[in-house]
Order: sequence, then C-alpha cells, then structure tokens
Amino acid sequence: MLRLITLPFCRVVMLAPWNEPPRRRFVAYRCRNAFRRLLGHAVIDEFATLSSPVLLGPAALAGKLYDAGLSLAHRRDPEMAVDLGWPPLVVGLDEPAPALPTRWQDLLLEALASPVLESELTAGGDRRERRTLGLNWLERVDVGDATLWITDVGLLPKQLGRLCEVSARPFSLAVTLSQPVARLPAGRSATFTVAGEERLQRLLAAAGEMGP
Amino acid sequence: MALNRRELLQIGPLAIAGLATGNPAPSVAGRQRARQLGVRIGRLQPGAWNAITDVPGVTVGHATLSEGSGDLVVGRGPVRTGVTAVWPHAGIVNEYLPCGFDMPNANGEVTGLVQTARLGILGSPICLTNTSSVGMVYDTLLERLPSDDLPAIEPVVGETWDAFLNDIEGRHVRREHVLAALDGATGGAVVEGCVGGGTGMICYGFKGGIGTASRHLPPPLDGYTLGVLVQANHGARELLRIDGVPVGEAIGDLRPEPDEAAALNSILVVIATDAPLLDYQLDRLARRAVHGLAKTGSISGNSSGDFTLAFSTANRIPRRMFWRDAAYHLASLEQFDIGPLFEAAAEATEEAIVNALFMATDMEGRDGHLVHALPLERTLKILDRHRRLFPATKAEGDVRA
Repeated sequence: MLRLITLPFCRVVMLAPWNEPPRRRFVAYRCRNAFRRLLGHAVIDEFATLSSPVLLGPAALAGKLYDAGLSLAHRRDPEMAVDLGWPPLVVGLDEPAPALPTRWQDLLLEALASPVLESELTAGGDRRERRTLGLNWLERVDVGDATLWITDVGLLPKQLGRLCEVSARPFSLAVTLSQPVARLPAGRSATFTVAGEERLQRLLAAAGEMGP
Repeated sequence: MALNRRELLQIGPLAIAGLATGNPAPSVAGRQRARQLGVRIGRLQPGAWNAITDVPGVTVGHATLSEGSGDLVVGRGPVRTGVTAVWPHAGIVNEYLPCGFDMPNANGEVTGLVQTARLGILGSPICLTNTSSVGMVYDTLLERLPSDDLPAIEPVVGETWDAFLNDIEGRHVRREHVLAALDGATGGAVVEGCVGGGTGMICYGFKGGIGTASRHLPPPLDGYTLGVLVQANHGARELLRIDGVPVGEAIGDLRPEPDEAAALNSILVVIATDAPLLDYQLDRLARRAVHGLAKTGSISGNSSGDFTLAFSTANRIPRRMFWRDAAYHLASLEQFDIGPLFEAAAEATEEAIVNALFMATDMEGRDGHLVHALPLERTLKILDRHRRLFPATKAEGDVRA
C-alpha cells in the first residue's frame, strides 16, 4: 500500500492505511549540505523505524503540518506511540508557502483517512518512477528538493542508509515496506529477511539508473 | 566461605587471597574481584563467571609482555604491554555477527568501524593493545581471515596509550604475541588487571588494565546473558566513584610517580550478548555502556579515546550468504523489550571497570615510573562508611567455584 496525496499546500506519502494496527517500518534518512528542515527524526535516529505518513510541504508550514500529524496520531491512539503514528515526520521543502484554505487541517486529515483517494503527484517538478527487480520493486518519489526511496526488498536500516546516498538531493529517505515491525509478546523475537550484499548492489545500481 | 563486613575490614589485601569465597579467576597475588569483597554494583545478577565469557561461545586470550626495568631505551624497554583477544565465537571469520558501536570521545583508534557503521557486521576477533601496535596486530589478524573469492573483512583492533610505563615506541608487540593471544583464548574465568592489552594501563590514577563482568537478564529476557570486557586506561583520580562512593576524593595519595607525566587517557569497552539484536539495536546497546562508564567517574575527556563495541551471538551469518546470497534471516527482540539489556550493559561496564582496578597490582615501568594499585583495604573501609559494602556470598552468583 503506497499512496501519494497532493494537496494545494502539501504532499503526503502514505506508507500504510492511516489506521493500521501498531506497526513500524525500517527507515533511514540522509541530509546533505545545509538541509535542516526536518521534524520528527529523533525517533528514527533512535529506533530506525517509522509509523507516520511522510508530510512534505513548504518549510514555513512545517510546524502546521507537524500539528496535523499530531492530530492524526492522537486520533489513532490518545496516548500516541512510536508504532501508532508518532512522531509525525515532516520534511520542509524549499518552496514558497501558499495561503492556507480555511479548515486546512480538516482537509488534510480527511485526505489521509480517505479509503479511496488515490492521487498522483501533480506539483511542478515532482515525479514518481518505479522499477521492477525480479519479484521485487523499487520506487523513487521526488518531491521538491526531497527524494523518497520505497521498496519491498527486505533491508535493514543501515542498508537503507546506503540507498539514501544514491540521491543527490538535499534530503533523501528510504523505507522498506517489507516485513513491518509489529508488537510481540514479551521476550519474543521476530525473524527478518535481509538482502545479501549482491542483491543490495543490484538495488543500488537500479536506483542509480533512476538519476541523481 | 562468606565474610561479614567486619571481617572484611579486618584483613589486608595480601590476606584476602587466602580467604576467597570461591575461585574467581586465575589468581592475582593479593587481589580479589570487587564482588568477592562485598561490592555489589547494580541490581541484576552476574553470570557464573561474572565475565564476558558467560556469553556462550565467547573466549578471551592474553599475551602479556613485561620485561626489564630502569631507564627507557627505545627498542629495548622496559616493556609493559601486550595484546588481549576476544573471540565472539570460534568461527567468527566464517560466520559474521551483527555489531554496533559508539564513541563518546574518539581521540583514539578502533579499526573496522566504517565496516560496522555501513555493513553492521563483525567478522574477526577483537584485539586490544597499545596505540603503537595497532598496525602490527591488524596485519597479523589479516592472516587469520579467509582469502578467497569473497570480499575481505576488516579486522577490529582497538588501542589505548601505555607510554607512561611502557617503551611504546619500541613496538614490542609482534606477530607471535598476537597469535599467542588468539590461540590461547579460552572460556570460563578471565584473567584481569595487568594482563594482555591492559598490562601498562592506568585508570583514575591507579593501576588499571583488563576487567570484566556479566549480567543475566531478568524476565522476560531471562535465558539471555550480557558480558563486558574493558581495557581501562582512563579517568581523573578526583572523579573516581565506586558504587556511587567518591573513593577518588578520599584517596589523595598513591599518585603515579612522577604524577605530572600520567595524563588522562582512554577506555575500550567490548559488550557481548546472546540476545538476538540487529546492528542498529547494538548501536543503541553500545551507547548504554557509557552510562556505566560515567558512573565510575569518567566524563570522556577531550584527550580520551573512548569506544564501545557491542555484538550479538544469536544471529550467525555465513559469509557466503552475506556477500552472495539473495537473502538471509536474522532474529530480533521486540524493541520495547530491550530496556533490561541497557541496564545490564551499564551495570556490567561499571563493574568491569571496578574489577580492573581491584585486580591490577602495583607496577613500576620505564624510567622508574610507578603506578600504585587501588588500595583495597582502604577502599573497603570507605565503601563501608557509605554503607555500600555487603557480605559476599556464592549465592549472589559471584563466581563459579
């Protein structure tokens, strides 16, 4: 499940339905040069996982988008949790902020919660490209000065970090939708499938072919 | 034989060895481990050996070089140095392990950390030595790694500076010493104090060196063990705390001689566990060792090379599978369960450092430089005044008799 939502004041990458059960996905990100307009990254730094939609919009609106993400997380669970959409991940883009419509947050939350809305990216300069790799796939989504790599190949966070390095844009993020991290009974372990180096190299080569 | 607090305080360090509550480790004259003397750090239970070797498969070997006395003659001595080798498991060069690290102040060297940061794996024994022997040890470790069509792995070698006591410029650690440490590695009790890479090290202005400790995990992680080994060569005397007690403030004498030449240095911390953790979780675990380090009084000073390395033995990755196969499988604990491992890492690191101090002995080195061992009798009295001395019993899981 991968949805790209475009609204007049932001774009959103939904990695899962907004109200899915407690679950996280392995993730990594990379900032280049002086990029710093990022909210919600500390939990990624600590746990290397993400359970929030990725909200991308003008840097001047980053606080407002974060606030909307908090509303969504509270709606999922009043206590919020790292596997229930907290913290929101907001990427501030280097682009001008439009005037916000009235009820902008309601509009955003309705779009996120909509079970049917499918929207391609339409903002100028944004693009989406998908490659098939055997039975797997890799998708690149460029939004403003950010690149998102999304794949179903089983990768660990450090491997995802290497995928981030393929992009030359100021901000890049890589996430695998394979084998989400679910809550387990106390003391139990889960088993993850991890791509070997050769397979990872093929993935990185495919990513490289999709441009800097 | 358990000793009460009064009895503990009536005996001097030299008498203590004869009154041991068990056989803690290959003996060091006049010295005993902290827990055997009634120091009880933290609240988790140690493993059978209270050592990194309580993690199944982990073995430790030392090559200790101690020769000569008098004035320094570069290339001739005096020599006070060595190598300590930690094997995560006997087949590490063919079956990699997930690995993580942290470096609270990185004025030092541990080779292979780029590999750990980017690939998240460990594929060699871990060797600890002095600063000027890193290249030699690294080179020797390369000999032990497979040479075939698969990519080469980076050996892991860490260092601390022993030049106050040792002819470090003389480069006395040679290939045969590295091989002796590697080939002499065993499980069970670990020799501590002035041995192996810790031979010439100084800790909080007392003689330092190698120390180790372990913890069994409480429910729901019972069944798992975490062990730590340190090469302790760090800290300012005034900051030394043992179980929260400001022992360093209370013992102002017994400074290294000449004192002004004994600069602050570094510590290497190796953490092993058999709990199934992935590389990024091991990075998190490695960070927690710093809390144990801090509890002994370290602030990871500007001149320190403080490194913590953590590996899990639960997931073995055959090297061909790692480099060639499409995919392999790794087990991982639920993220919300790993809190007790953090506590174990902090506790075992703290106790390993204290054990290094308790087991090290006075040492005279180059140019007559002298470093005193922590005076155990005085230390026990100080701890008792702060009500931090407890009767030592085997029932505490202290050591295997």
